Amino acid sequence: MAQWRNKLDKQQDLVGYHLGLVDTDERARIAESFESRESLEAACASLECLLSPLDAEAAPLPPENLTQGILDRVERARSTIPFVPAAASSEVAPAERGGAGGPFIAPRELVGLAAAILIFVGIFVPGYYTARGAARKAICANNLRVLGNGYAGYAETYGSQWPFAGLAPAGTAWAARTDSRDRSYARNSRHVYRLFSGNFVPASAFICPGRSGDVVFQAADPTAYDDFPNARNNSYATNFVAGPWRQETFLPQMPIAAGMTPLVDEDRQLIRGRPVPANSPNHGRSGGQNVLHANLSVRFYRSPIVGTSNDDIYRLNGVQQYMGNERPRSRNDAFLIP
Amino acid sequence: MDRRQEGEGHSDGELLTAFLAGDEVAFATLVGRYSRELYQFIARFVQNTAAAEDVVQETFVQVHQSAAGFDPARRFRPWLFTIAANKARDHLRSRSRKREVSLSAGHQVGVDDEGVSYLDFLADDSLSPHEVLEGDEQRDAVRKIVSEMPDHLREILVLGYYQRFPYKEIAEVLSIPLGTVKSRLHAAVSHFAVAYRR
Repeated sequence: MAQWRNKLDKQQDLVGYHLGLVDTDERARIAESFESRESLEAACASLECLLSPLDAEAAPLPPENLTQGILDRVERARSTIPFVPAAASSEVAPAERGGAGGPFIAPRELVGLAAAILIFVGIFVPGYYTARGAARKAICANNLRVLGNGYAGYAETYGSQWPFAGLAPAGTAWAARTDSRDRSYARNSRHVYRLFSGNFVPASAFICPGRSGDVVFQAADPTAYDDFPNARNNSYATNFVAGPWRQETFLPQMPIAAGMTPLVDEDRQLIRGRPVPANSPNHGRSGGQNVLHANLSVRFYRSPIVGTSNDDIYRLNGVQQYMGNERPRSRNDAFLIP
Repeated sequence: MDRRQEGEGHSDGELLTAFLAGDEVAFATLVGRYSRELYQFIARFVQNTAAAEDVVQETFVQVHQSAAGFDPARRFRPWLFTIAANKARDHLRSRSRKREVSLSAGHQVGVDDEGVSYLDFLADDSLSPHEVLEGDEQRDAVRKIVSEMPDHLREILVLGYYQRFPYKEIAEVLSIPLGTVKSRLHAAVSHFAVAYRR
């Protein structure tokens, strides 16, 4: 896999090098990646053989009056654009101002304005919090769409593969337990981190506005990390990754990312000793979560039972208490974890 | 970097500034400077010379109307081609071309599951049917392959191969990351190489 990816990167670099589309520093880097000057020149010559037939297609000859035609069209467009006069005169007839020397707003108008404000407050303020919640859900949904686009961009770059950071050592948990002495665990987010380190998704898209304690990861060099250093840098749970994966591996409606699982606390440690809600805590009282599907569609659900087999996307059948080492039974058994 | 032509001595930015100050001759100079190159790009992208003339005109009308909002710190040429590419895509959509390959599809043209790509053909010395073609036949074959290419691949092939835009400017014109420019141009080259070999 790594060898194939290196080969692909080398091919992509060769195209830019041969066509002269990269800057001087990049040219030097690409040249150094070849074993010798001769091998680079041979590769360029071979690429030229593949591309040279394109030159059979001669550049289309523009019409003789192309420039004049453009200028005539621009002139016609100018003459049909409605004339917008300069800013209207600020002089207003004295009668419209309530009389010469009178107040800017008459007492009668002031009463009307006050009534309008009271009506506005009475009607719209109660809905403010509802609107704010709806706005947060909308931003969250957009984040998941950006994530979906990131998956698509990653697949386009790496031959249909979705981000995969390798398997964790056997026995590694997917979340920490405060009552366990074994601190070895590897978050599932290390896979989706590649979307950020590869510049496919900005760090801000990983933060749900409904989670006030989560923070955007800022790093001068994201490639220096292999996962978000702070569990709170990522507000979204992603489907358990058991190996290299591609979009067509899943059913189109398979959930692949959603609001953070309710099984963990703010620091992504498994909650034990108290009941946990059914839905993601991301949107609190809204009671539900946005879900990104394998076909890259996003939708808000009031229930977590939206897996392809009507299964709970945050839980596995038959498991009452989570230890952090659970695994889904099949690839299409949704199990979204931190 | 703004372009200057011999005998004119004014950069793109200077001409645009002069135009915004009311100098229509400056705008006409910009039109004369870029109209041919823009026409060739659009004609190759939309595969229709008649439509290309129309799209070029629409592009410069847009430039004329939007010049006041242009950030002088940016380069003019990528901005011009961004407008042109958008106009060209609008034209293609209005013609209901349905050859676009979904970017979310798990298939990269020219590269299969085992990583076969155009470079795998380099070791094959046998001639493809098209290699024995000459002149008009070869041109027709190339034109057919390019016209049947998905729009997003043809677009970047024209910008990269025919227009020789640097990667960074292609990224700016198409509003895509640099990594996507590299992978998409590679996909376009692979697509052409595979199709030409058949």
